[in-house]
Amino acid sequence: MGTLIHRSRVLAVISLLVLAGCGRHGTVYAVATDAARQDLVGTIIPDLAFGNSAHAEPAVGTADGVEWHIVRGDDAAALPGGTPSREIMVLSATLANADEGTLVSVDVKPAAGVDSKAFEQNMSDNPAVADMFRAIAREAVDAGLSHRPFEFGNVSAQIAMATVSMLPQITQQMDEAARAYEQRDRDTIDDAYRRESGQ
Amino acid sequence: MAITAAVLAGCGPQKPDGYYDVAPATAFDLLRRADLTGFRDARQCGMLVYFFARDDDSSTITWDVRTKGISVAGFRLRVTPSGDGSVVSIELPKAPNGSEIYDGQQHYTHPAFMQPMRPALREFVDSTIERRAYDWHRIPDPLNTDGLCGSMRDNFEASGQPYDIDDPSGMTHQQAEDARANGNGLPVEQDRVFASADPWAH
Repeated sequence: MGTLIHRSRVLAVISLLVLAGCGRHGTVYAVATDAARQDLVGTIIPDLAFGNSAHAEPAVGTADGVEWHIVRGDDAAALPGGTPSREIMVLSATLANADEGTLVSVDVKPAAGVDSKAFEQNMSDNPAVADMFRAIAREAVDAGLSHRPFEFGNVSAQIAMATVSMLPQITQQMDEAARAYEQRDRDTIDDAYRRESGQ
Repeated sequence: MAITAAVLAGCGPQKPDGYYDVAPATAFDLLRRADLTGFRDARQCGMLVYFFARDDDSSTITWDVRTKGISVAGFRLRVTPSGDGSVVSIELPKAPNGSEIYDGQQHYTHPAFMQPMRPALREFVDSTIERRAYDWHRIPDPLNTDGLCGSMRDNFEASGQPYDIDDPSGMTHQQAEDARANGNGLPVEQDRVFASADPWAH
């Protein structure tokens, strides 16, 4: 559709395209596809992008691009390699030849073993969160192809929107955690009374 | 007409403080059978305390709160008829400085409860009359003005080990035991909680 040209540090972003027919957004970078893949393989998304609750494995090459495999944060210690069954999500960058370089389109996909229908439903129910993951993937691509660090400033708006959209769930989780914490304290107190009374 | 009625409805006699829309006999019965565990757990300071209740008459219940046989607090609830319902008033004994015990300004070396106590007791009455669990979230700020109480409470909840009234002030029970085992005869402060030997003497 339209073409937007801008330059970002080292590498030029040539255009922003919306692919007719499939509705996917892509960005054309002035770099050959093989070189783009080479630049992106091994790049890292900081854990902080996922609020330290998840960890992105370094990007691996695929037949048509690269993927960052996202695992739950509590599994991060078990890395490298990760446990495929504990992966929760894959951020992908598909690379395709374009007239003036490489068209890069990003996607958020369920990890192997994750119920894809439920995953898609979850993303559909939480569009701001899906937008945030796509923004993270786009920033990872742009940083990798520009040979610069991942810039949180480029995804902060999407993270803020996702956070706001999730506030009811976050509040509910915090309330549940607080209730569990209070119950644990009450149990501790009541145990002490039971011990003293010899029960 | 509806507007007039609504406006006039707001002009009715105000309910007195501590009013409950239940008969005095019912309020009294609920209170004398009340479980103080919720209040105790929500307001304790890391020292195990026990409640001893007595019905002074058909309208007044007095609780003495003790640890190791020593009185560390007390309170009284008085039920009086009011209109179609009851008023439950809270009474607290006088402290040596003439104010109420646990009024939010008192200092104790071995606190038994967070301060101020009066709003926490009001929640006890509310929850009892309303037949629901004690809910400290309903207590208005400040929840606690006693830093030592908060600290000892945190220690207890983290370790599961309460402190004793025989332990030096501010020490965990384990610290006190260690000090005693090492032959360190640390002084143990004693609080004078009440203005007189009989907390309810006027």
